[in-house]
Amino acid sequence: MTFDFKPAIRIKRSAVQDVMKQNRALQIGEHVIVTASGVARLGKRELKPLTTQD
Amino acid sequence: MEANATLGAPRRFAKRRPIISEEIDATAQGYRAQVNHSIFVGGAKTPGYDYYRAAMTTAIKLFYDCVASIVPGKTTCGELVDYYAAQVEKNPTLKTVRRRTSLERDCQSFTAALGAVQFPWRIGHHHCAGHDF
Repeated sequence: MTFDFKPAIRIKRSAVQDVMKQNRALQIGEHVIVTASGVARLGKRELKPLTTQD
Repeated sequence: MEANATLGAPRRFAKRRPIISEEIDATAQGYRAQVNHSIFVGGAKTPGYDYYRAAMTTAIKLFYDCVASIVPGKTTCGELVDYYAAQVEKNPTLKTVRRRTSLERDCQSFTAALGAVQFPWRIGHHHCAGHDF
């Protein structure tokens, strides 16, 4: 079987503060395949923070 | 800004809201796959980047931890939800999981849609594709 797994989390303001009044929820989601031998994500890109500028 | 909050309608980027949470979805012959990746508009010196980087790093680790916990044919959908909730709750920097997480809600709506298949169904290789957690 395959399914999408996409956790969304929000960090406490006592740990790190966002620029908004409330810390926002961020999400990472990928398509996952389950076979008889194991579980893997189908995507190939590196999962890391992405910015539009260096 | 979350992709599914606008129903696909274009929106302006607010200067103080430089995080885009997109949702890309494709379907072929009834099989669907989706990717989500919050993107920061700006660079490492843009205000808000530190929060973005910390949250994304945590979310990515959570993703890999939860996927690695699945044992094909043994782990149930409910066990995956419980594992996810436990990982969030034991992390002191994360807000406590609501009683009904989006993961749990999606999981329950999926089982409700299937009708006869009840909640703890097992995550195995013999099921069809396209479920969303």
